[in-house]
Amino acid sequence: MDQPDLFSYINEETDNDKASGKERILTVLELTQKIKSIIEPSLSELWVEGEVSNYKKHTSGHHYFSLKDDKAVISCVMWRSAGYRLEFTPGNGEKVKVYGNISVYEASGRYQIDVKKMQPVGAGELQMLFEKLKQKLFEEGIFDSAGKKSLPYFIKNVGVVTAETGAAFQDIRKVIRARAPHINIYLYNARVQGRGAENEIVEGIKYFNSFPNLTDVIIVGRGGGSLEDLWPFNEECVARALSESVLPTVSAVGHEIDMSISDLAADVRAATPSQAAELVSINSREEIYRLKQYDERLYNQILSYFIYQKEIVRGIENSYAFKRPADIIKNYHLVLDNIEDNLNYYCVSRIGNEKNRLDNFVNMLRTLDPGSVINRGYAVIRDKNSKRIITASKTIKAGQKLEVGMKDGSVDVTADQSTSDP
Amino acid sequence: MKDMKYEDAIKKLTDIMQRLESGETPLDKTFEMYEEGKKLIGFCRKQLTEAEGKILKITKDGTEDIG
Repeated sequence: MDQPDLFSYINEETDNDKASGKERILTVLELTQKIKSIIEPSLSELWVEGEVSNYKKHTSGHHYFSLKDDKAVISCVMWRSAGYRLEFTPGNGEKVKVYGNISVYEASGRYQIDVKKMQPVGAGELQMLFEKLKQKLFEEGIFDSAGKKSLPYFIKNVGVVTAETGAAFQDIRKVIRARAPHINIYLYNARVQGRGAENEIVEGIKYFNSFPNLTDVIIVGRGGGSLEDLWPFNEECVARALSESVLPTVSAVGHEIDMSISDLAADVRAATPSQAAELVSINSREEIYRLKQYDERLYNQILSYFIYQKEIVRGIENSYAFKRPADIIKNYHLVLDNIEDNLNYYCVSRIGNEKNRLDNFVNMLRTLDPGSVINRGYAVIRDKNSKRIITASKTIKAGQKLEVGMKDGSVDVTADQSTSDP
Repeated sequence: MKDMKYEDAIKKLTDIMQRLESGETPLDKTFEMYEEGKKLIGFCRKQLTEAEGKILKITKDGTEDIG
């Protein structure tokens, strides 16, 4: 069968319509079927070279991806039946050769390559560009950590360079609003994919830097996408603008796994736009809690300070030096008391002693009382004239007048002769 | 205190607390420091909770509120 020519086909239709005198109106399906019948037979058994992007292996075993070069993109599908023979896992950015047919899907109005075979063709061009630029900037010291600025702790104004309608901005806005509602967000609306996007991003970075008092930090970024989508963030001019920025910069491009040149060039890399928002906003609730703690500590400090001072004063009051005069007086009292006690004791015992002595005297006197001897039958002999007691017989002379005293009285006697000294 | 930065306020506050905690400040100074500490806390709180931040879009003619 001859290949139908697209234009002759259309012309044929119009000729028929003209002939029938009325316009032939096609349904969408009819048109699509015509397109399909023209394209599919004429574009089969082809080899196409391009870069893989948005590669996805579905759980069903089918492979979906796009092939692209720097000017065009085409969707591809590799059904499980062909895919299981695949000898490598294509990565995004990788350059490959595919063999297959073009097929048109009426339901979606799309055409794609129905890939039968796929072979790698060295490293992908974009990947190569990326590596080359990375190496160049690395050697220049653009990524040096020494030149990186740290983010201020308390940030009041945040500049954001991204697309107003993108998911990244919504995420940043939501996170900052929730964590630190006092923060002002300044959006520099820049396209973040497609040709020329890199220039808008650079302009945004430069804009904020031209008003260094407007914002404390700049976030540059976008949500996830294919390597081509993220490409503006792999452009040299963006890397340079970030590294030249006077304001600290945070790069947040795509998802956790996506590493871009701008991630390397910025002062801080955030895995996602949400994380970037967290990095630039202290959690005000936590901070207020911290302040409360400070407040309590301050109060306790002043309180304990006074308690301590009072203790010191009390300590001084109780100190030896302060108490000494009182102690000395107390000691005097003690000494006096002791003396008094001793004195009392001495006096009392002295009186006792004297009494005893007196009693002894009395006893002694009692034994010496001559009366008691006389009572037992003894007599006392005195000289009659002198009344002196005569204690020895030899003192008595014969004829001497004597007086003999007895218990109940005395008798006068005269001595005859001495009988002593026989 | 109006022009003070939040970080500076926190730094000062921490310093005051450390000095108070060392217990070596004279009495009149202690009072002064306590009062300053209270003021700094108030300032920081205000910074955190005061004015609701705005969302502004930068346009060719200036900025516009897109709250």
